Amino acid sequence: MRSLWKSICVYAFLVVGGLISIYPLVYMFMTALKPMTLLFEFPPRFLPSEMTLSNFRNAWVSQNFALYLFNSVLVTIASFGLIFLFSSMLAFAYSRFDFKGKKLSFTILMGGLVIPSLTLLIPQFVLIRQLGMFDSRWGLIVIYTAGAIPFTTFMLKGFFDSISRDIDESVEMEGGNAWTLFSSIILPLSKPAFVPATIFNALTVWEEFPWALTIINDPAKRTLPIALANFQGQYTTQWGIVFAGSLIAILPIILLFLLLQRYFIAGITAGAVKG
Amino acid sequence: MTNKWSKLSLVILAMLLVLTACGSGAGTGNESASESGGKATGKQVTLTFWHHYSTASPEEKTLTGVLIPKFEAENPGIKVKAVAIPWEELHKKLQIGGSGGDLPDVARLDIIWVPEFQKRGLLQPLDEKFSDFNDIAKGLLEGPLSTAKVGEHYYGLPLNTNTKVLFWNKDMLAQSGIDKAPETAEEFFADLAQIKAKYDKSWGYGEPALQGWNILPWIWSNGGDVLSPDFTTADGFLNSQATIDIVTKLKAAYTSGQLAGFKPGDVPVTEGHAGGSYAMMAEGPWAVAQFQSQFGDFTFEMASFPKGSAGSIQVLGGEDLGIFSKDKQEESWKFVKFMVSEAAQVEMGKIGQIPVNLDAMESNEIKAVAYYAPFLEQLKTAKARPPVDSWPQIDGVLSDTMSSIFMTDKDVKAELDAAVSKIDGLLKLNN
Amino acid sequence: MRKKNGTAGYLFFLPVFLFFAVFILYPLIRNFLYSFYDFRLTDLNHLEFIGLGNYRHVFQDHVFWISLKNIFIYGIISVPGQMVLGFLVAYALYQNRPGTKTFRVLFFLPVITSWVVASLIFKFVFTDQGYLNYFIMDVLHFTDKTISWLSDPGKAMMVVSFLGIWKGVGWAMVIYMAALQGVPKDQYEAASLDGCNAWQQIRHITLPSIRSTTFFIQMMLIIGAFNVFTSIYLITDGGPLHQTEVMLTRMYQKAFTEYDLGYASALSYVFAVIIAGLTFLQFRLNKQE
Repeated sequence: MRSLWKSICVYAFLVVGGLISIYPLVYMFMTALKPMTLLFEFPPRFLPSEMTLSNFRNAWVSQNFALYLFNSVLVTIASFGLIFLFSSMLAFAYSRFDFKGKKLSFTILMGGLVIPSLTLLIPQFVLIRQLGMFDSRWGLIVIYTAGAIPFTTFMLKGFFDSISRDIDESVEMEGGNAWTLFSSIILPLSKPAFVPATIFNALTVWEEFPWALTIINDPAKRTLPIALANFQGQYTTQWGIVFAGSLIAILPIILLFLLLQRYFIAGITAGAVKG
Repeated sequence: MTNKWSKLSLVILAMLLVLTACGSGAGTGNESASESGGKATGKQVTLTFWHHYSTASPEEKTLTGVLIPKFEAENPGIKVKAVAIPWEELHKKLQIGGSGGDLPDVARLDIIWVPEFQKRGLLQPLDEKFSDFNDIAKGLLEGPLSTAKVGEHYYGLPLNTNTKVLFWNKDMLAQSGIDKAPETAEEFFADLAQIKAKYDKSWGYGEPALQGWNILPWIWSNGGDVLSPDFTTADGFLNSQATIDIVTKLKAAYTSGQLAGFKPGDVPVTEGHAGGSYAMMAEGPWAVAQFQSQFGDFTFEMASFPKGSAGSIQVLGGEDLGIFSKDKQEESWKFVKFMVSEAAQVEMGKIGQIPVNLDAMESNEIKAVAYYAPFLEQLKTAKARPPVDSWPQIDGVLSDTMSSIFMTDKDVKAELDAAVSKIDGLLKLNN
Repeated sequence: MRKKNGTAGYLFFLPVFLFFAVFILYPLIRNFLYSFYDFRLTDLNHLEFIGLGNYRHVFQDHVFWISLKNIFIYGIISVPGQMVLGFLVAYALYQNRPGTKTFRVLFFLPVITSWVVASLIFKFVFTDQGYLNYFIMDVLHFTDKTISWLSDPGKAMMVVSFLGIWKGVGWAMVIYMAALQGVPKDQYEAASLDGCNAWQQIRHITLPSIRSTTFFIQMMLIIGAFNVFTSIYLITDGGPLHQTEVMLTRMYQKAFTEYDLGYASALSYVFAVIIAGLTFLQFRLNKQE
C-alpha cells in the first residue's frame, strides 16, 4: 500500500514536471499552426480553431532556408570535428603527461569556462579581420571551436583519467608511441564520452547569433539564426512564421538528441563528468 | 575498431580540407569579382545593397521579385545583391563595418542615421559627385529630401517617407459617449477619462515606447522641443514650461490608468488596438497593413494627431538611400536613381511604402491607396528629429528620463533638468 | 600511476593551446587593454588612454549595482532550483521505473530548445494578457486584477529565474543520473535492512556519495547564472527603468546602444573578478567540508 502511494506521488511529480517541460514547445507548435488572423486572440485559445501549414511553407520558401540550413550543418559539423580533435589532444596531454606549465595552463583553460563569449566580440572581430577570415565560414568555425575547448577538454580529461594506465604500458611494451596510444586506444575507448560532449555543445554552436551576424556579410554564407532574425520587422513581426521557422531550426538538434540519447547517460556515467 | 577510428579521423581531416578549399575559394571568388567590377568597365558589376525589409514581407518580395530584376534588365552589366538585416542589427553592422571598410555599396538608412554616418565620412556627398543630382532631387518631396542633407551637402536621397496618425476605435469611443476623434489635446485628455469610466480594463491610448519617436509629437505639438533650433543645447527647450506641462499631463494619464503600452508585458499596442485594449494609438502606415493581414474583421479609423497650442505636429519617419561605395559609385548612383524613379516608387507605394517621388504621388495607382490620405495630410506638418550625430544616444537619455518620470514619483522638472545636462554633455562630447 | 614526461606531451598540448591562446586569450588581453581607453564603436581605429576612468564609471553607475543585485537574485533562485529539481527527477528516474526513458527525453528537451525560442514563448505566456493571467483570472478566478508579471521588477526576475530553472533542470538531471548510477547498491540494501526510510537514505547515503558531482553542478550553474543574457534581453530588455538589468545586458547596452566599448570592457573585467572570487570561495568551502 505504502509503495503504491509512493509510486503515485513519484509519477504525479514526473507527469507535472514533464508537462511543464514540453508545454512551451507544444505552445510554439500550436501557434505556428494558427493562421495570421488568430495569433492574438483573446481569450487565448490553446488549440487553434483553424489550422494551416502556411507558416511552415512561408518560412521555408521565403528565403534560402535550405541553404542556411546547409550552412549551419556545415559549420556545426566542421566545428565539431575540430572541437573533438583539439579537445581530445589537449585532454590526452593533461591526462597522460607531466610537463612544464601544466598546472598554470590548465587553470587558464578552465578560466575560459567563465568568459561570456559576448565580451570578446569586438577584439575577436578585429583579430579575424587581420587573419583574413572575415565573411568566411572559417571565421565562425575557429571561434566556435576555441570557445568550446575548455568545457570539452574538461569532460574528456575526466574520462581519459578513468581509463586504466596499465594499457599505456602494454602499448609501450609493444613498441607503440604516444600517438598509437592516443589514436588506437584512448580515442576508441572514449567513444561514449563524445556523445554527451556533442549534445552539450550542439546547441551553443547551432543557435549562435551575435558573432555570425557580425562577421558574415554574404547572404550565401549565412547560418539559420540570422535567417530567423530577419523574420522580425522593425514595427511588426509575423510571429507565426517566426515560430514555424524556429521549429524547423531546432528539429535537427532534437533529432540528434533522440538518436544519441541511448548512449547519453551511459557516456556521462562512464566518467566523463566527475567533478 | 582501431581501423575504424583512424579511418574516421582521416575522414574528418579530409572534410576539413574540403571545407578550407570551399571556404577560401568562395572568398577569393567574391573579391576578384568585385575588384574586376571596379576597374574594368563594360564587365559585370555586382552591387551590394543592405536593407531592413523583413523577410517574407511584401516589401522584400517586391524588391527582390520586381524591382531588382527590372533594374538589372534595364542596366545590363550591373547585378544587385540585396541583403536583409534587421533594423537594429543593420545600424550596428554599419557602425562596426565602418571601421574596417566592410560596407555595402548602397544601403537603406533610417533617416536618423544619416548625420552619424556622414560625420564618420562614410557617405558620399551625392550633389558634389553627380552632376544630375539636382534634376533628380527636384522631382522629390522637399521634407524627406531635407533628411539627407547635412551641412551644405546631400548625403543620400529619400526612399520612402512616413509619419504617424491617430487611430481610433469608433465603437469604443461611441460606447463612451464620444462621437468623433479628438481634435485637440484637451479633447484627447478629456476623452481618455471618459473611456476609462466606461472601460475599466482597457486604456484610452497606447504608446509602445517612450523614445523621441513616441514622445516628441506631444512635446512639439505643445510648443516645446528637445533641442534648440541650432541643435547646440537642450537647456530652455527640454526643460521649458511647454515641455513640462505636456509631460505632466501624459504622466497623469498614465498614473490614472488611461495610457499604457510601453512597459514590458503590456499588451502590444497595434494588436491591442485591434483587440479593444487601447481605444486610440498613433501609428504609421504599417499598422494598416497589419490590420488588413491579421485582423480582417477590425474596422479602423484614422484622424489627425490631436492639436496642441503649436498645432498637430507629428514626427517624420522614413528611409534614405546612401552610397558607401568607393569603387562602384556610378553604378550605385544608377541604382539609387532607379529606386527613387516613378516606376519603382509606385511599385513600393502600392504595398504601403509612402512614395517621395512627386510624379509617383500623382499616379492613379498611388491615389487609389485610400488610406494614404490622412498620412499625406499629417506629413505636411511633420517634423524631423534633430539631425545630430549623437541622436541615438540622446534618444536613450530621453527614453530613460521619460520612464523615470512616468514610473516613479520624481519631480518632472528635476528629471528634465537632469536630462538636459546629460544631453548637453553628449552634444559637447561629439562636437 | 606514474605519468610520462617529455616532448610527446608537448606535441599534443602546444598546438591546441596555441590555438586557444590566439582566439580566446589574445582577444581577452586586448579587451583588458581596451578597458583603460576611451574606445567607441563609432570609431574602432581611435583609442585614447584614460587610465582607470572606465572602472570609475562602472562603480559610479547605479545600474551596475542593480545588475549585480539582480545576478545574485537570479543565482539564488535558479541555482538551487535547478539542483533540487534536477536531483529529484534524477532520483525518481534512475531506478528504471516504466516510462523512465520517455520522461528523460521530456525533461531534457528544454536543454536543447534554443534560448531565443524559449524566451519568446515565456514572454508570450507571462505577458499581461497571456495564458497565465487568463488562467488565473478567467479560469480559476483567483483575482480579477491583472498581474503584471513582466513590468514589476521583482516578478520579472522571478519569471526569468523560472525560465532558467525550466531550461536547466534537464542538465542537472542527466549529470545526477550518471552520478547516482555510481552509488554502490549494497549500501542501500544495508540501509533498508536497518530500517532507514527514503529520506534518511538520501541524506545519509546518496548525497554524501555524490558530493563531488553536486559541487561540479553547483559551480557550472553559478557560472551559467552569471552568463544569463538572452532571456532578459528578449523578455524585459533590462526594463522598466533598468530595474531588471544584469551584467551582460548592461554590457551589451553600453557597447552597442551607447557605443562605449571601453566601459563595456571594464565592466566585463569587474565581472570576471567577481566570478573568479566566487569560484575560489566555493573551492575553499568545498575543501573545508
